[in-house]
Parts: sequence; structure tokens; C-alpha cells
Amino acid sequence: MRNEARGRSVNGMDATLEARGLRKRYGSTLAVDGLSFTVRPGVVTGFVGPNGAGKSTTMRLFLGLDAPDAGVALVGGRPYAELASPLREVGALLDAHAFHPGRSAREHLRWLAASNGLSRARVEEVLDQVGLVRAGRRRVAGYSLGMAQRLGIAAALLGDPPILLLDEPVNGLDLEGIRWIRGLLRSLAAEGRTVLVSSHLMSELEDTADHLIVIGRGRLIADVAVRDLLDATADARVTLRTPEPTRALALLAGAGGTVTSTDSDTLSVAGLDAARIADLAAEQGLRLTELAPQRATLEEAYLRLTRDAVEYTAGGDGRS
Amino acid sequence: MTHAGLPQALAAEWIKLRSVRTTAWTLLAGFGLTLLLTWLVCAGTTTTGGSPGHPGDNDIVKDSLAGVWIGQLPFVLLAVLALASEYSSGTIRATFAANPRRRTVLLAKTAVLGTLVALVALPTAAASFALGQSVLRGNGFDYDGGYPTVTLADGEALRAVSGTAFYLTALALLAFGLTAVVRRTAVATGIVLGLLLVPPIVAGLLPERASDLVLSLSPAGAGLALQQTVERDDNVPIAATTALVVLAAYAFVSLAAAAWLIRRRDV
Repeated sequence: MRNEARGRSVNGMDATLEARGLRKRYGSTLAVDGLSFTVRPGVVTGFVGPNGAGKSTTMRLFLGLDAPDAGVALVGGRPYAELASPLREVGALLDAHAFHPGRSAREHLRWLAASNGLSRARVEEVLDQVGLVRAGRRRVAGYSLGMAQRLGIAAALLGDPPILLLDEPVNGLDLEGIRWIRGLLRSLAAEGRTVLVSSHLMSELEDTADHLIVIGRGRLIADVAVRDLLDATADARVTLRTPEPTRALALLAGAGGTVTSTDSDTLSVAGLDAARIADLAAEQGLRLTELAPQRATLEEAYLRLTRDAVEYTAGGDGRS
Repeated sequence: MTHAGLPQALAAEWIKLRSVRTTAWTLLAGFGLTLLLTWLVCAGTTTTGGSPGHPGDNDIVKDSLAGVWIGQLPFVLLAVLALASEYSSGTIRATFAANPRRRTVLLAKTAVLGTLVALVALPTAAASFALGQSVLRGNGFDYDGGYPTVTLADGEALRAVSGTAFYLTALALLAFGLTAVVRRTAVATGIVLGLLLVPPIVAGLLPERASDLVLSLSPAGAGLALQQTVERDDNVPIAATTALVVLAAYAFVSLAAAAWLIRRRDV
């Protein structure tokens, strides 16, 4: 299903995001430094890096809001400024609460719709989609961060665009909201759209992103499928429980494993995979009560990846 | 497929302007303060004594439009907030993401704001004139006191009233363009207030010819020149048409600077 949808082009345009040698400096801060990557349709691509890594800057460059000092940012193969009806081609969520506090959500979406010749009916559809139909007439000033995020997502979806750029969409959402947005992101990607979602917390993208673009200090650290990353960084250890730890230790060590005892009945084994251990135990009639390969979490994999590239400055400079 | 062009930008900007309370409140304040100050000025103006056929030298048309010198401030504030609020809230990013042709957006904003201000400024000036005439008549500025009734059918009075509306509109556009340049409410408001208040003070300190020049080329001086209908010593010494040009030049230069910068800067 997902694979069938992959590569769909909407409105006849190729729905990729492409950064080529992007470079952007703000004063003395080099926010983005020679960044090149391509985001493809059909999957959720996580855009990850610590605060200040250059994620938001990159998004502003894609949207033509800031001009790069070097390189190009292309949406569907073109610079943003050339899009005839941008909301139909790219939907973006930048900062939460980037709305006039005195305007209602409905009026905010109405002016956006009018700016690209979209219908008022479409405004009601997206309000319904994000669950703001009733709150839609209230002034945004009274919105919680979660509601503001929903409004921002409604704005991004307004033109039914093949490309979505969402900067920290999970911020401020409650558990139900987080679940909702994960489902939404996956379904948008399954429809063949290009979905780039930034986050400074890898755990937010666990189970959501299929692909990752990891940056730090404005540079590309990794452009990798989540599966490959997990495989590459998976801790090749297996944990097992047995009522006969001493016998198991001797057996596994004899078969070439490096075994450490972590508890009275628990062993941690390196150098042998779970299948081999199960075979050995069966041959020797060793009773195992638990056998578990240790999988690295996405977060661990990410931390390993960024360990050297992390730049964390308390306070930051406000432009991440 | 509909694209994001000027008609769409005009529609969007109109929705923006009418969907915040600031717009109605500032326009109402502009109207109300103008009438209030006009009433105060006219109620405190007494005739120096004339007789039929020998009018005094009070400029009762100008006096009945005096309220705009306070009433102008809410109009300026509306123009500043219309744009500065987008920068302070971050809405400007949504605006330029929805339409990356920034000059089209700037043009649409200018047109919508200018039209709205003009449409409110004209009745404001007319109402101020009507109120002022009625109060002044009660203070002895009538036929017997040497002041025949003036109405908008009088060419000079019509020019003063429509000129006042033009002044308010040009001032709003000047403020709007400046806001596009400086982006902040306080800075933009401060500069406009400075442009309005400093030249008359400076002019007061200068010898007469320099003083006349400073006053004639200042926004407030040009606005006053549009309201004058009687030859007086304290008049601003420029013709109404020159005053129109001066005001239009302020608005134009400010908007041109905005148009030049808006494509070159990050948002």
C-alpha cells in the first residue's frame, strides 16, 4: 500500500524537497553550513538535530522566507518564489502561536484560503480535520499551545499540498494529540506526500519516521533509513534468563560468546545471536526462561550519532 | 488553477484587516477624537467682532477641522499595527509563505489600508466641519458677526474638507511604509510622531524664511495649508496643490523604501 503510493506526484509536480549546498549566516552565527539532502515522497522523514542545529533555518530557506548565502533550496524542483499557488504545493507549520492573537482561527484560515483562491468550504474541512470546529470562532489569544499547533497544522493542510514541512509539530500536544499527529503524519505519507517533520527529540519520531535527516551545527550528520540506523547501531547483545546460569555460562563461553552475569539468573551475551543461543540450548537440553536480543532504541542510535556533533548552548540565539 | 495573484492578495488583506478589533476601534477613535477636539476648539473660539460685509479674520473652516490634529493619531496607529502586529506575532511568515511575491502583498496591503482610511477620513472631516460650523455659529460667527454661513457647496470649504481626508490618508500610508521598514510598533509610531511634532517646534526657533520652509515641507504644515481658507499672518505659505504634492511625496518615499527593502530582507 505504502509502496504503491510512493512517488505519487500531485498537481503534476515532482514532490521532493531538495537542499543543495545550503549555507546561511546570521551575524556571527553560521546557522546552516553546506547542507545537501533530498526528501522523497511516500515516507515520513524526520528532520532531527539538537536545538540550534539549523532545522528551522533550513525550513525558512525552503519557504523562501530567508535567502541563503549560498546554495539552493528547491521544492518540487523549483525555488519557492516560483510557485504560482504555494499553499497548494507546500504546507508549512513554522512557529506555534504565529497568529495574530486577536483573530479567530476561522478568520486566520479564511485569509490564508483567500490568498490562494481556496474556498471557504475548505476552511471548514481542515477545521474539522484538526478538531477545531467549535473553537474556530474564538480568538487565538485564548488558545493553548496544543490548540495553536492544531491550527498551524490546519493551515498547512489547507491547500491539500503534496509537500508538508512541519517544524516541531508535536510540541505542546498532549498524549492524545501526539497520537493523533503520528497517525496523521503516517497517513499523509501513505497518500504519497512528502512529509518533513523536525524535532529536537528523537523519541518524538520513534515509530513515526521512516527516514531520518540528522543535522548538527548546520551540517548533515546522517541521511539514513530508520531501519538501517537501528540495525547499524543495534547493540549486538542478547539477554537470557535461565535456572542454570553456571552451566549456561560455560556452554556459551565455550561456543565463542563473551558472557557476563548481570543477575543471579540473568546473563548478557555478546558475540552470539539469539538464534544461535537457542540452538545451543536446545542441543544441550538447557532450559531458558527468557531470550531477548537487545535492540537499541532510536533515541540511543541518535545519541550515538550526534555525540560528537552536539552543540548545546544554553539560551541559544533564538534562531534554531 | 487559481494562483496567488493581486486579487487574491487584496481579498486576503481585507479579511485580515476586518477580522481584528483594532481596526474598528482605531477608526472609531479617529472619528470620535476628531469631533471631540473640534468641539473643544470651536466652543472656545470667540469672535473678535465684525459686522455684515466686514468679516473678521478668523478662519472658521480651518477651526472646524482642528480636531484632526488629535484624531490623526488613531489612524496612524491603525496603519502601524496593521503591519507591525504581523511581524510581532510571526504572521508575516504565513503571509509571505502564502504569497512569496512580496511586492504584490505590499501593494495589496497598501491599497486595502489606504482605501479604508480614506473611506473613514472623508466622513470624519465632513462631520468635523459640520459640527464646527454649528458650534461656531452659536459663538457669534454668523451673518451679523461678519461670517456668512459656509457649507460644503463652497469650493474653498470643500477643498479644505477633502484635503483633510487626503492628509489623513497620506499620513496613514507614510506610517504604513515606515512600519514596513522598521517593523516595530514603538519605533514606527515614534518616528511618525517625531515627523509630526518636531518641525513645528524647530520652525518656532528659526528665522522667518527658514521657519516657513521647514513648516511648508513638514507633513503637519502641508496638512494645515490644505485647511486654510483665509489670508492670515500665521498661515503656512504654500498653495494647496503644493501641499498635496508634499504629502504625496512623504507617502511615496516611505512606500518606495518599503518596496525596495521588502524583497531584500529575511523575515
